[in-house]
Amino acid sequence: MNPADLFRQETDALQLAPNDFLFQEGEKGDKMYVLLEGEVDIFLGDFVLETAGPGSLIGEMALIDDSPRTANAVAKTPAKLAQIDRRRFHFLVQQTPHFATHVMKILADRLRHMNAVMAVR
Amino acid sequence: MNPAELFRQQTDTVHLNPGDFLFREGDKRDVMYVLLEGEMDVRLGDYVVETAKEGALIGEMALIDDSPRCANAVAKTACRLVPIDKQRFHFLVQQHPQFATHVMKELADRLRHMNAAAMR
Repeated sequence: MNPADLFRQETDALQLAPNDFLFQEGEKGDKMYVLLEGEVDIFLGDFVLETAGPGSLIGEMALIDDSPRTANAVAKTPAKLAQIDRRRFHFLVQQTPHFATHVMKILADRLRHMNAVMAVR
Repeated sequence: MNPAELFRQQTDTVHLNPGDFLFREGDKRDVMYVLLEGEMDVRLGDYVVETAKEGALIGEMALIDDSPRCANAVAKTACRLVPIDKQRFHFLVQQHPQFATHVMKELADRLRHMNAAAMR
């Protein structure tokens, strides 16, 4: 599943220029984003956790558990993103089980990635 | 939401004694578990990532992405668990959106925990 296909027709997409912050660690976030075009770097401090490409979900954690942003998200190239607020997120989870399992897959991938990072230390 | 409540009446539960392994890193099994009673240690090598308590989901990652177990799960006390296979998991996600969001919450919690550990 490429979530970008679900949101291709989005009209209120967010446009970022290179080096624009999408969000910063500690901010209270009430939206997640689906990257439609471009690349966004996710930083934990100075460490680039991930360079997100088209189809990536960004910032979904703050939406899932109401907590502040845990990372910085910065546009690496010009980027276009669909914005999903909490209400729409829960609607998607209810109406599109594939979306729910996709979100789980992404979280599981990241967790495996972090586990691997920790195992190396 | 405490998922243990959803499965309280389950009869085909797994019973473990202290020290018993539920699964080991590298095992290929597509079953997850809900802990109904007891405590389980989830270990990454020698590092205890989490001591799971009643209501905890265990082993859901292998179910979500079809990959081998990435941790060891060992009973710390006597435990009772409900096994959930892939078919039932997808049924739950479809029929109980609050189950789906609960799974996401658990994963997000763990990820925050690992991120915090990585920053130390």
